[in-house]
Amino acid sequence: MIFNSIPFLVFALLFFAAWPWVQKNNNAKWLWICIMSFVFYAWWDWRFMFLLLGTGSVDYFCGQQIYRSEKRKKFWLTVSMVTNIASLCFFKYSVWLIHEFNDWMNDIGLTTCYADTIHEYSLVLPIGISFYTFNSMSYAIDLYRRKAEPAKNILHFMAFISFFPHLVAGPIIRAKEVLVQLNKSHQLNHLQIVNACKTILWGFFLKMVLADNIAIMVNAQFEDIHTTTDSLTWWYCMVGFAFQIYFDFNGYSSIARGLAKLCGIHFRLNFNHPYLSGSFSEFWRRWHISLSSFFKDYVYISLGGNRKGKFRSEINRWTTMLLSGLWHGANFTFIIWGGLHALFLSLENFYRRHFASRIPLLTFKKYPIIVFIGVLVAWVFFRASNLDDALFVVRNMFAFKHNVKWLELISNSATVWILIGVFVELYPLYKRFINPFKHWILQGLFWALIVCMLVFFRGEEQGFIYFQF
Amino acid sequence: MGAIKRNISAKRQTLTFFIGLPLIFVLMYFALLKLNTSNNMLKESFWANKVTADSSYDIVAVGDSRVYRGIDPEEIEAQYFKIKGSKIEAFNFGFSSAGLEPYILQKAKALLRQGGKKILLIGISPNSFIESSQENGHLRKVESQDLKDLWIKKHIYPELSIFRRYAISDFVKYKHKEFYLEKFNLNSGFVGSGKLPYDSTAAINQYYKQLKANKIDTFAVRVFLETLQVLKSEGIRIVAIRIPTTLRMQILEDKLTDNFCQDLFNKLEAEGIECIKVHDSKIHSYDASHLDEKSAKLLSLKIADLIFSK
Repeated sequence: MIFNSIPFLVFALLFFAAWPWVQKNNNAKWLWICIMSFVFYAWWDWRFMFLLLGTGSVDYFCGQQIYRSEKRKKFWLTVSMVTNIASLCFFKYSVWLIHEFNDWMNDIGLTTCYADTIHEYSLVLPIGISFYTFNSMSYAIDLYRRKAEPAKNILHFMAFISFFPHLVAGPIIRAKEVLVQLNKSHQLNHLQIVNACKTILWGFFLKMVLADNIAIMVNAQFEDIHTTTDSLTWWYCMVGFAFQIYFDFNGYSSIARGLAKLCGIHFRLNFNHPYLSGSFSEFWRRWHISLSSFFKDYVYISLGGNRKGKFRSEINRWTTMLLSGLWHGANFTFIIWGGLHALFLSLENFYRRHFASRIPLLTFKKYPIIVFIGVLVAWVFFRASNLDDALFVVRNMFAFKHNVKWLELISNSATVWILIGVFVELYPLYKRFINPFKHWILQGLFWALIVCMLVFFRGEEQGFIYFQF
Repeated sequence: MGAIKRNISAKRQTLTFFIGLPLIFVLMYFALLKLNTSNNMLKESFWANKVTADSSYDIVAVGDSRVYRGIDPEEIEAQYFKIKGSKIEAFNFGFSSAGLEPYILQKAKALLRQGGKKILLIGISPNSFIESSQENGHLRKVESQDLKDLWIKKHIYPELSIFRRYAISDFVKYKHKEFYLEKFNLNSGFVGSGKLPYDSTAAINQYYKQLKANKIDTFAVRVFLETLQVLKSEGIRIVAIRIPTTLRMQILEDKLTDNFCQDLFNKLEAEGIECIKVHDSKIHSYDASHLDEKSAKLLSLKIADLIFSK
């Protein structure tokens, strides 16, 4: 079930209609969350419910063992990790790996037919698998590190892992934060309900009005990729994509946060105006915060972080970023996307260490535009469906060939939505000086306008980009 | 104190929101109505209806967009009533860029009622026999949707179709006085179409490119003829028609396909399949390929005359 659909509207009405009564009874609350979250997931394909239940049960059992036994906790952590990574590999990477292997074999003149051995189930990517396996893994690791308490029973654990607002596209949550909140009963006051509804509406606006309308231009451009060689067009398209993916995912995260808020649960902010970042490291503190902090806490720091010297620190950074790229998808383009960000971070670090004190004028912090350009180039690899297409776009972006009229380019409908997007993104910079929405009348009218925009200017219905991960 | 203040402000905001919402909604609704854009929800519902229609028709028209924009089943039903004095049920099973191959023909056949007239009206166009059309991408895409989604589109979307979707380009079209009319007839599968201003050459370039780059698939033609024979042997009356376009388009298609349509009609007639031709100066295409609503109705009336006067 996706948030921007009629079934979800009915589902949410049903869930929240019963919530005030259900949450008064502790057992009923956990059961209600589980049942409704399973319905939410099974709406897509009920057969994959068993994967969620299966890996979830293993993680719950391993978690109990990790908590109970100090001696064998490493073993049980390994069991949990292997189960999660194996299911991720089977469903997400097996087809890609087999195809790549086949291609390599063909290149050296050997014919293989491993593609025939692929099981039909592994051809389907279970929706949200990358998110719920990471939630599960964080639970086991936190228990291992003694940073969290285990779930009281399997119902509590399943409710945590399958809680529908975050189930299929994050944000990635931590057991130590969410389980504790789920345990409590929450009576929301009017202000909290209003704030939750605003967060949801804002998420819908970002996704359905901004992202989906910009997507029309970006998709058209990438569909007929080799017909355009104009540099400006590609820069324009990539700016469009940068905002499309940002609003698409930020929209989803906002809706998820708002829905959780209505249950009295607080999810941490997942995006914090990333395109205002003055450095690449800052970008990663503002973009997909739940994933970056997951990789930082569980991969980068586990590998030793920056405690083992400069060289190891670089290796750790590259490993983390490449894994982050691979997490997004089974394709070399995603690995290159991660690699490019690792390169930018390394260059930034190198510059900071050797030149920043000597040439202070050129500190990265003052040049968010440089960061934005770097991010745009990296997005090409994220968006393109294969390496050839990505290289074609990058080559044309830097060929500086210009054969399309400016006016023709910016008269595209997407420009209006991109400009609104820019206005939204720059909000922290001007809100101190101009804030037309301070007064409650304007606030009320503003949200009424947002609802009308959702009704009349929603773009063509599209799934969330991050569902594929 | 601050929390109380914020709570009061939130209550006031909610009040303003609920007062402002219907006002802004009504204002926007009527302001945008003049843009006259296609109703997307009805469109989705229209296609969902087509692929989930049941076997209750006496006559089914099948073919590409020229068919679903050019043949109005309601006109055929009305004309039949005029001629014979009884009722029949007709349905349009046309899809965009449809290829005439066994899959779509069998699907169309499945819509014919047992014990009914069993007439399959086939709209012939050269495009239906090029390789890309033979895949019937549009039909298969609509069919491949989740059953739950199809149900929602079929039953819920028409109720919500008041919430029409607009795009920035609609304002530009309105400014240039350009209108694209699409009336989706959910029950009959016909789209009443029109465009202002008329451009009787608009589609020429696209068809030129398409037919220049793609040759007629002779294997597909052979399979088509064989399928028609099978259908005929099952007691289905098959009627073929080339939907009128503009003279320029007809010449272009004939030239680029070496008179494919005429050859095919000769073969069809040789195999005992009825072929009908309609020429009327009142029939117009708004883009060189598709008929406007009025012409489509006139064509349908003439088709009914030709089929049922025999």
